[in-house]
Amino acid sequence: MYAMPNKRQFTVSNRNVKRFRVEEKKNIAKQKNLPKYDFSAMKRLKDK
Amino acid sequence: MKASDIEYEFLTRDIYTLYKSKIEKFDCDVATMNTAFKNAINQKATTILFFDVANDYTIVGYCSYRCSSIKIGDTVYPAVEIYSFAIDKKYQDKFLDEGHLCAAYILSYCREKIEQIRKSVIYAEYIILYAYNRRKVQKFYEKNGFNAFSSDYKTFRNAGEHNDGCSYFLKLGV
Repeated sequence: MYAMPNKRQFTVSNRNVKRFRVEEKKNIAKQKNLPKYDFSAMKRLKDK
Repeated sequence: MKASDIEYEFLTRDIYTLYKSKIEKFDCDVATMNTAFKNAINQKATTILFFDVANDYTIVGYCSYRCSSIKIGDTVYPAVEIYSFAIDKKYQDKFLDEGHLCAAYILSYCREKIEQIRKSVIYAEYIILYAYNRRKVQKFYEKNGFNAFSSDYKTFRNAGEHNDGCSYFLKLGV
């Protein structure tokens, strides 16, 4: 899985703001259905 | 593989020197990303490394993030950009004993870290990233709480279906 350095700016043009807001609502709904992870097992190497 | 087999550490000069051979061996199947990782110590971003402690501290993946912004219409919102994120190919399809995809667990941990930063260090409205142009990659972000967006939505058919790379966002504080 890869995210890569972006050479462009992150922008949404004026005429697409409404569309972005619709996606934003979908994003909020999507996040509420994400699995809950238990990170208590995740330790920092240095703390061992 | 258990979740407790994964440990993290921030990339510093000392850690880089200590784990240089492991960093050199990292292979996520994309040459440019492997090179980016080897140069992560010089990147203008904070990098977290994830190790498989049960497998001789093999590097499972890494995440680099930094302050950024997203301009929506005429308003600029503070955001944290996941500058690069990659999982070694040996771990990309691996599931933890707890039932989660290892890569999803790591990405969610990074999201949680950024949430903590938002709450107690410096405010941000979104996490943003630019995903590599592979359907599998874009599907992964879609499944893990991100939505695609575009400046002009010209090439935007269904979210995530792009030939080129694609920008993604996740609203923080939900």
